[in-house]
Amino acid sequence: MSQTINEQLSALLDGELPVAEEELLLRRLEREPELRDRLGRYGLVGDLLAGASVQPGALQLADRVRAAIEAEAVASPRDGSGAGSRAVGSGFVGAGLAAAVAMVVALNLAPVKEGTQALQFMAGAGGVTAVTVAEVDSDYGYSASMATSRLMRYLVSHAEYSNPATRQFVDAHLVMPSFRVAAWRPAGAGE
Amino acid sequence: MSGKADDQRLVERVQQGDKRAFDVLVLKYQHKILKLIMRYVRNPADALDVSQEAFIKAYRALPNFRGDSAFYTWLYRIAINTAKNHLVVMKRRPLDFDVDLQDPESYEVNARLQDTDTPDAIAQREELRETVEDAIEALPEELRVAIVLREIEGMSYEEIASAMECPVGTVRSRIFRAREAIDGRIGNLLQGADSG
Repeated sequence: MSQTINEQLSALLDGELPVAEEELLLRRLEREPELRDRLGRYGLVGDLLAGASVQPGALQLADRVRAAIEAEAVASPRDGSGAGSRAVGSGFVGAGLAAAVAMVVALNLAPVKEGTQALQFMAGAGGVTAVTVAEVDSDYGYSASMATSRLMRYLVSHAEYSNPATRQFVDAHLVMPSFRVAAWRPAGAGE
Repeated sequence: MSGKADDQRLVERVQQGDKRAFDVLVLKYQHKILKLIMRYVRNPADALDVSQEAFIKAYRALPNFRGDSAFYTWLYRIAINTAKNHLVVMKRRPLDFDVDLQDPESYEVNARLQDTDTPDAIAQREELRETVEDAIEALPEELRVAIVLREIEGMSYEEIASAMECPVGTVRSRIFRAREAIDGRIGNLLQGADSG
Protein backbone atom coordinates (compact mmCIF):
# COMPACT_ATOMS: atom_id res chain seq x y z
CA MET A 1 0.00 0.00 0.00
CA SER A 2 1.75 3.10 -1.16
CA GLN A 3 2.10 6.33 0.71
CA THR A 4 0.41 8.08 -2.20
CA ILE A 5 -2.74 6.04 -1.78
CA ASN A 6 -2.77 6.60 1.97
CA GLU A 7 -2.34 10.32 1.46
CA GLN A 8 -5.29 10.25 -0.93
CA LEU A 9 -7.33 8.46 1.75
CA SER A 10 -6.47 11.19 4.20
CA ALA A 11 -7.56 13.86 1.74
CA LEU A 12 -10.74 11.96 0.90
CA LEU A 13 -11.64 11.93 4.57
CA ASP A 14 -11.32 15.71 4.61
CA GLY A 15 -13.29 16.20 1.41
CA GLU A 16 -10.15 17.60 -0.18
CA LEU A 17 -9.34 14.95 -2.76
CA PRO A 18 -9.39 16.26 -6.34
CA VAL A 19 -12.25 14.83 -8.40
CA ALA A 20 -9.77 13.30 -10.81
CA GLU A 21 -8.34 11.09 -8.06
CA GLU A 22 -11.66 10.20 -6.49
CA GLU A 23 -13.03 7.51 -8.76
CA LEU A 24 -9.88 5.43 -8.77
CA LEU A 25 -9.57 5.60 -5.00
CA LEU A 26 -13.22 4.62 -4.48
CA ARG A 27 -12.63 1.63 -6.73
CA ARG A 28 -9.64 0.57 -4.68
CA LEU A 29 -11.54 1.09 -1.45
CA GLU A 30 -14.23 -1.20 -2.72
CA ARG A 31 -11.88 -4.11 -3.21
CA GLU A 32 -9.17 -3.55 -0.60
CA PRO A 33 -10.35 -4.06 2.97
CA GLU A 34 -7.05 -2.80 4.37
CA LEU A 35 -7.75 0.57 2.79
CA ARG A 36 -11.19 0.71 4.37
CA ASP A 37 -9.69 -0.18 7.74
CA ARG A 38 -7.14 2.55 7.38
CA LEU A 39 -9.77 5.11 6.43
CA GLY A 40 -11.80 4.10 9.48
CA ARG A 41 -8.74 4.53 11.70
CA TYR A 42 -7.94 7.93 10.20
CA GLY A 43 -11.48 8.95 11.09
CA LEU A 44 -10.97 7.69 14.60
CA VAL A 45 -7.71 9.60 14.96
CA GLY A 46 -9.67 12.80 14.39
CA ASP A 47 -12.27 11.84 16.96
CA LEU A 48 -9.60 10.98 19.49
CA LEU A 49 -7.87 14.29 18.91
CA ALA A 50 -11.17 16.00 19.60
CA GLY A 51 -11.40 14.15 22.90
CA ALA A 52 -13.77 11.35 22.01
CA SER A 53 -13.23 7.81 23.25
CA VAL A 54 -13.38 4.52 21.39
CA GLN A 55 -16.58 2.51 21.52
CA PRO A 56 -16.20 -1.25 21.21
CA GLY A 57 -17.26 -2.46 17.81
CA ALA A 58 -17.13 0.94 16.16
CA LEU A 59 -14.60 -0.20 13.63
CA GLN A 60 -16.96 -2.95 12.47
CA LEU A 61 -19.95 -0.71 12.05
CA ALA A 62 -19.15 0.30 8.48
CA ASP A 63 -18.83 -3.36 7.49
CA ARG A 64 -22.24 -4.08 8.91
CA VAL A 65 -23.86 -1.14 7.17
CA ARG A 66 -22.25 -2.01 3.88
CA ALA A 67 -23.38 -5.64 4.18
CA ALA A 68 -26.94 -4.55 4.91
CA ILE A 69 -27.00 -2.24 1.90
CA GLU A 70 -25.47 -4.93 -0.32
CA ALA A 71 -28.09 -7.39 0.93
CA GLU A 72 -30.80 -4.99 -0.14
CA ALA A 73 -29.24 -4.61 -3.55
CA VAL A 74 -29.07 -8.39 -3.97
CA ALA A 75 -32.64 -8.81 -2.77
CA SER A 76 -33.90 -6.18 -5.20
CA PRO A 77 -31.70 -6.32 -8.28
CA ARG A 78 -34.15 -4.27 -10.33
CA ASP A 79 -32.87 -1.14 -8.62
CA GLY A 80 -29.13 -0.96 -8.78
CA SER A 81 -28.92 2.67 -7.79
CA GLY A 82 -27.61 3.84 -4.45
CA ALA A 83 -29.35 5.74 -1.68
CA GLY A 84 -31.92 3.02 -1.50
CA SER A 85 -35.50 3.84 -2.07
CA ARG A 86 -36.64 0.77 -0.24
CA ALA A 87 -36.27 -0.50 3.23
CA VAL A 88 -33.20 -2.52 4.03
CA GLY A 89 -34.08 -3.46 7.54
CA SER A 90 -37.74 -3.92 6.79
CA GLY A 91 -36.86 -6.84 4.55
CA PHE A 92 -35.46 -8.72 7.47
CA VAL A 93 -38.23 -7.59 9.77
CA GLY A 94 -40.79 -8.61 7.18
CA ALA A 95 -39.14 -11.95 6.73
CA GLY A 96 -39.20 -12.48 10.46
CA LEU A 97 -42.86 -11.55 10.59
CA ALA A 98 -43.68 -13.87 7.73
CA ALA A 99 -41.89 -16.72 9.47
CA ALA A 100 -43.67 -15.94 12.72
CA VAL A 101 -47.03 -15.84 10.97
CA ALA A 102 -46.23 -19.13 9.32
CA MET A 103 -45.48 -20.68 12.68
CA VAL A 104 -48.67 -19.28 14.18
CA VAL A 105 -50.72 -20.59 11.28
CA ALA A 106 -49.16 -24.00 11.65
CA LEU A 107 -49.47 -24.11 15.42
CA ASN A 108 -53.11 -23.11 15.30
CA LEU A 109 -54.18 -25.63 12.76
CA ALA A 110 -56.03 -27.71 15.32
CA PRO A 111 -55.96 -28.78 18.94
CA VAL A 112 -53.93 -31.85 19.77
CA LYS A 113 -55.96 -34.94 20.43
CA GLU A 114 -55.50 -38.65 20.39
CA GLY A 115 -54.85 -39.96 16.95
CA THR A 116 -53.08 -36.76 15.92
CA GLN A 117 -50.39 -36.71 13.31
CA ALA A 118 -47.12 -34.87 13.57
CA LEU A 119 -46.08 -32.46 10.89
CA GLN A 120 -42.38 -31.78 10.70
CA PHE A 121 -40.54 -29.24 8.69
CA MET A 122 -36.90 -29.50 7.84
CA ALA A 123 -35.22 -26.22 7.13
CA GLY A 124 -32.48 -25.99 4.58
CA ALA A 125 -29.02 -24.52 4.98
CA GLY A 126 -29.04 -21.53 7.24
CA GLY A 127 -32.35 -22.46 8.74
CA VAL A 128 -33.55 -24.47 11.67
CA THR A 129 -33.02 -28.20 11.78
CA ALA A 130 -35.85 -30.70 11.96
CA VAL A 131 -38.49 -28.98 14.04
CA THR A 132 -41.95 -30.24 14.72
CA VAL A 133 -44.07 -27.19 14.18
CA ALA A 134 -47.54 -28.59 14.56
CA GLU A 135 -49.57 -31.52 15.51
CA VAL A 136 -52.61 -32.00 13.37
CA ASP A 137 -55.74 -33.80 14.39
CA SER A 138 -56.96 -35.90 11.54
CA ASP A 139 -60.45 -35.75 13.06
CA TYR A 140 -60.57 -32.08 12.14
CA GLY A 141 -60.00 -32.98 8.54
CA TYR A 142 -56.48 -31.57 8.19
CA SER A 143 -53.66 -33.31 6.47
CA ALA A 144 -50.06 -32.40 5.86
CA SER A 145 -50.75 -31.39 2.32
CA MET A 146 -53.67 -29.24 3.41
CA ALA A 147 -51.55 -27.59 6.03
CA THR A 148 -48.77 -26.72 3.64
CA SER A 149 -51.26 -25.68 1.04
CA ARG A 150 -52.98 -23.37 3.54
CA LEU A 151 -49.66 -21.90 4.54
CA MET A 152 -48.70 -21.28 0.93
CA ARG A 153 -52.09 -19.72 0.16
CA TYR A 154 -51.60 -17.37 3.07
CA LEU A 155 -48.14 -16.39 1.93
CA VAL A 156 -49.21 -15.92 -1.67
CA SER A 157 -52.33 -13.94 -0.84
CA HIS A 158 -50.40 -11.62 1.42
CA ALA A 159 -47.42 -11.22 -0.85
CA GLU A 160 -48.71 -7.94 -2.19
CA TYR A 161 -48.30 -6.41 1.25
CA SER A 162 -44.70 -7.43 1.61
CA ASN A 163 -41.70 -5.81 0.05
CA PRO A 164 -39.57 -7.62 -2.53
CA ALA A 165 -36.89 -8.60 -0.03
CA THR A 166 -39.49 -10.26 2.17
CA ARG A 167 -41.02 -12.13 -0.72
CA GLN A 168 -37.66 -13.35 -1.86
CA PHE A 169 -36.82 -14.52 1.65
CA VAL A 170 -40.15 -16.29 2.00
CA ASP A 171 -39.79 -17.88 -1.40
CA ALA A 172 -36.31 -19.06 -0.65
CA HIS A 173 -36.78 -20.26 2.87
CA LEU A 174 -40.41 -21.18 3.37
CA VAL A 175 -42.08 -22.05 0.13
CA MET A 176 -39.27 -23.33 -2.03
CA PRO A 177 -37.57 -26.69 -1.54
CA SER A 178 -35.08 -25.51 1.06
CA PHE A 179 -37.96 -25.62 3.52
CA ARG A 180 -39.75 -28.86 2.93
CA VAL A 181 -41.98 -31.32 4.65
CA ALA A 182 -39.55 -33.85 6.04
CA ALA A 183 -41.81 -36.30 7.74
CA TRP A 184 -45.46 -37.01 8.01
CA ARG A 185 -46.48 -39.74 10.34
CA PRO A 186 -49.37 -40.66 12.61
CA ALA A 187 -48.53 -39.84 16.21
CA GLY A 188 -49.04 -43.44 17.31
CA ALA A 189 -46.95 -44.92 14.55
CA GLY A 190 -43.82 -45.24 16.67
CA GLU A 191 -41.19 -42.69 17.53
CA MET B 1 -16.07 19.84 13.34
CA SER B 2 -16.74 18.95 9.76
CA GLY B 3 -17.68 21.73 7.46
CA LYS B 4 -20.62 21.60 5.14
CA ALA B 5 -18.41 21.43 2.09
CA ASP B 6 -16.35 18.50 3.40
CA ASP B 7 -18.90 15.85 2.55
CA GLN B 8 -20.66 17.61 -0.27
CA ARG B 9 -19.10 15.67 -3.09
CA LEU B 10 -19.51 12.33 -1.39
CA VAL B 11 -23.15 13.14 -0.69
CA GLU B 12 -23.69 14.06 -4.32
CA ARG B 13 -22.10 10.82 -5.40
CA VAL B 14 -24.43 8.84 -3.17
CA GLN B 15 -27.39 10.76 -4.53
CA GLN B 16 -26.26 9.71 -7.99
CA GLY B 17 -26.30 6.08 -6.91
CA ASP B 18 -22.71 5.53 -5.77
CA LYS B 19 -22.87 3.26 -2.74
CA ARG B 20 -19.08 3.40 -2.33
CA ALA B 21 -19.31 7.05 -1.41
CA PHE B 22 -21.79 6.24 1.33
CA ASP B 23 -19.35 3.64 2.63
CA VAL B 24 -16.77 6.39 3.00
CA LEU B 25 -19.23 8.54 4.92
CA VAL B 26 -19.99 5.64 7.26
CA LEU B 27 -16.28 5.00 7.80
CA LYS B 28 -15.83 8.65 8.58
CA TYR B 29 -18.66 8.99 11.08
CA GLN B 30 -19.10 5.50 12.52
CA HIS B 31 -17.32 6.32 15.78
CA LYS B 32 -19.15 9.57 16.34
CA ILE B 33 -22.54 8.05 15.67
CA LEU B 34 -21.96 5.00 17.83
CA LYS B 35 -20.71 7.19 20.63
CA LEU B 36 -23.75 9.42 20.29
CA ILE B 37 -26.20 6.54 20.31
CA MET B 38 -24.55 5.04 23.36
CA ARG B 39 -25.72 8.11 25.27
CA TYR B 40 -29.20 6.65 24.83
CA VAL B 41 -28.70 2.94 24.35
CA ARG B 42 -26.22 1.72 26.91
CA ASN B 43 -26.02 -1.91 25.82
CA PRO B 44 -23.12 -2.01 23.31
CA ALA B 45 -24.71 -4.67 21.11
CA ASP B 46 -28.00 -2.76 20.95
CA ALA B 47 -26.13 0.46 20.30
CA LEU B 48 -24.39 -1.14 17.34
CA ASP B 49 -27.73 -2.31 15.96
CA VAL B 50 -29.29 1.11 16.41
CA SER B 51 -26.27 2.79 14.82
CA GLN B 52 -26.54 0.49 11.85
CA GLU B 53 -30.23 1.29 11.57
CA ALA B 54 -29.49 5.02 11.72
CA PHE B 55 -26.99 4.80 8.88
CA ILE B 56 -29.39 2.77 6.78
CA LYS B 57 -32.15 5.29 7.40
CA ALA B 58 -29.76 8.01 6.32
CA TYR B 59 -28.90 6.05 3.19
CA ARG B 60 -32.56 5.72 2.30
CA ALA B 61 -33.25 9.37 3.01
CA LEU B 62 -30.20 10.78 1.23
CA PRO B 63 -32.01 11.31 -2.08
CA ASN B 64 -34.13 13.86 -0.24
CA PHE B 65 -31.22 15.55 1.55
CA ARG B 66 -31.05 19.06 0.15
CA GLY B 67 -27.91 20.16 1.87
CA ASP B 68 -29.51 22.91 3.95
CA SER B 69 -27.30 21.77 6.81
CA ALA B 70 -24.03 19.90 6.94
CA PHE B 71 -24.32 16.18 6.28
CA TYR B 72 -23.12 15.32 9.77
CA THR B 73 -25.69 17.58 11.42
CA TRP B 74 -28.39 15.87 9.40
CA LEU B 75 -27.01 12.42 10.19
CA TYR B 76 -26.75 13.37 13.86
CA ARG B 77 -30.47 14.16 14.00
CA ILE B 78 -31.35 10.88 12.32
CA ALA B 79 -29.19 9.02 14.83
CA ILE B 80 -30.83 10.66 17.83
CA ASN B 81 -34.32 10.04 16.50
CA THR B 82 -33.45 6.42 15.79
CA ALA B 83 -32.11 5.97 19.31
CA LYS B 84 -35.20 7.56 20.84
CA ASN B 85 -37.49 5.41 18.73
CA HIS B 86 -35.55 2.37 19.86
CA LEU B 87 -36.15 3.30 23.48
CA VAL B 88 -39.85 3.82 22.83
CA VAL B 89 -40.08 0.42 21.17
CA MET B 90 -38.25 -1.07 24.12
CA LYS B 91 -40.76 0.72 26.35
CA ARG B 92 -38.05 2.64 28.08
CA ARG B 93 -38.08 6.30 28.82
CA PRO B 94 -35.18 8.16 27.25
CA LEU B 95 -32.44 9.03 29.71
CA ASP B 96 -32.99 12.17 31.75
CA PHE B 97 -30.15 14.09 30.24
CA ASP B 98 -30.62 15.11 26.70
CA VAL B 99 -28.29 16.30 24.04
CA ASP B 100 -28.91 19.34 21.97
CA LEU B 101 -30.50 18.20 18.76
CA GLN B 102 -29.28 21.26 16.96
CA ASP B 103 -25.72 21.23 18.17
CA PRO B 104 -23.47 18.22 17.59
CA GLU B 105 -20.52 20.21 18.89
CA SER B 106 -21.93 20.75 22.37
CA TYR B 107 -22.61 17.05 22.60
CA GLU B 108 -19.00 16.19 21.76
CA VAL B 109 -17.68 18.43 24.50
CA ASN B 110 -19.90 16.93 27.21
CA ALA B 111 -19.80 13.33 26.14
CA ARG B 112 -16.73 12.36 28.11
CA LEU B 113 -18.19 13.54 31.38
CA GLN B 114 -21.13 11.19 31.18
CA ASP B 115 -19.45 7.86 30.60
CA THR B 116 -20.52 5.01 32.81
CA ASP B 117 -18.11 2.24 31.97
CA THR B 118 -16.37 -0.62 33.65
CA PRO B 119 -13.04 0.07 35.33
CA ASP B 120 -11.28 -1.93 32.63
CA ALA B 121 -12.87 0.07 29.86
CA ILE B 122 -12.07 3.33 31.60
CA ALA B 123 -8.44 2.26 32.10
CA GLN B 124 -8.21 1.22 28.46
CA ARG B 125 -9.56 4.53 27.29
CA GLU B 126 -7.30 6.44 29.61
CA GLU B 127 -4.33 4.57 28.15
CA LEU B 128 -5.53 5.41 24.66
CA ARG B 129 -5.99 9.07 25.56
CA GLU B 130 -2.49 9.28 26.98
CA THR B 131 -1.06 7.54 23.93
CA VAL B 132 -2.79 10.01 21.64
CA GLU B 133 -1.48 12.93 23.67
CA ASP B 134 2.03 11.48 23.58
CA ALA B 135 1.71 10.94 19.85
CA ILE B 136 0.67 14.55 19.31
CA GLU B 137 3.50 15.80 21.49
CA ALA B 138 5.98 13.71 19.53
CA LEU B 139 4.90 15.19 16.20
CA PRO B 140 7.12 17.77 14.51
CA GLU B 141 5.55 21.17 15.01
CA GLU B 142 4.43 21.67 11.42
CA LEU B 143 2.56 18.35 11.49
CA ARG B 144 1.05 19.03 14.90
CA VAL B 145 -0.21 22.46 13.87
CA ALA B 146 -1.64 21.13 10.61
CA ILE B 147 -3.55 18.25 12.20
CA VAL B 148 -4.85 20.40 15.05
CA LEU B 149 -6.08 23.08 12.67
CA ARG B 150 -7.79 20.43 10.66
CA GLU B 151 -9.27 18.15 13.34
CA ILE B 152 -9.83 20.55 16.19
CA GLU B 153 -10.49 23.81 14.38
CA GLY B 154 -12.16 22.21 11.37
CA MET B 155 -10.29 24.39 8.90
CA SER B 156 -10.10 23.58 5.19
CA TYR B 157 -6.77 22.79 3.54
CA GLU B 158 -6.84 26.19 1.89
CA GLU B 159 -7.40 27.95 5.19
CA ILE B 160 -4.62 25.96 6.80
CA ALA B 161 -2.32 26.73 3.90
CA SER B 162 -3.03 30.39 4.35
CA ALA B 163 -2.46 30.22 8.11
CA MET B 164 0.75 28.23 7.78
CA GLU B 165 1.93 30.11 4.71
CA CYS B 166 2.57 27.01 2.65
CA PRO B 167 1.05 25.36 -0.44
CA VAL B 168 -2.15 23.33 -0.13
CA GLY B 169 -0.25 20.24 -1.26
CA THR B 170 2.08 20.63 1.69
CA VAL B 171 -0.87 20.86 4.04
CA ARG B 172 -2.32 17.68 2.58
CA SER B 173 0.98 15.91 3.08
CA ARG B 174 1.44 17.18 6.64
CA ILE B 175 -2.03 16.15 7.73
CA PHE B 176 -1.53 12.72 6.22
CA ARG B 177 1.84 12.26 7.94
CA ALA B 178 0.39 13.36 11.25
CA ARG B 179 -2.44 10.83 10.93
CA GLU B 180 0.01 8.10 10.00
CA ALA B 181 2.19 8.87 13.00
CA ILE B 182 -0.74 8.84 15.42
CA ASP B 183 -2.26 5.76 13.84
CA GLY B 184 1.07 3.99 14.19
CA ARG B 185 1.10 4.67 17.93
CA ILE B 186 -2.49 3.67 18.67
CA GLY B 187 -2.90 0.73 16.29
CA ASN B 188 -2.39 -2.01 18.87
CA LEU B 189 -4.46 -0.27 21.49
CA LEU B 190 -7.31 0.12 19.03
CA GLN B 191 -7.46 -3.59 18.35
CA GLY B 192 -7.93 -4.27 22.04
CA ALA B 193 -10.41 -1.48 22.54
CA ASP B 194 -12.48 -2.34 19.51
CA SER B 195 -12.85 -5.98 20.40
CA GLY B 196 -13.86 -5.11 23.94
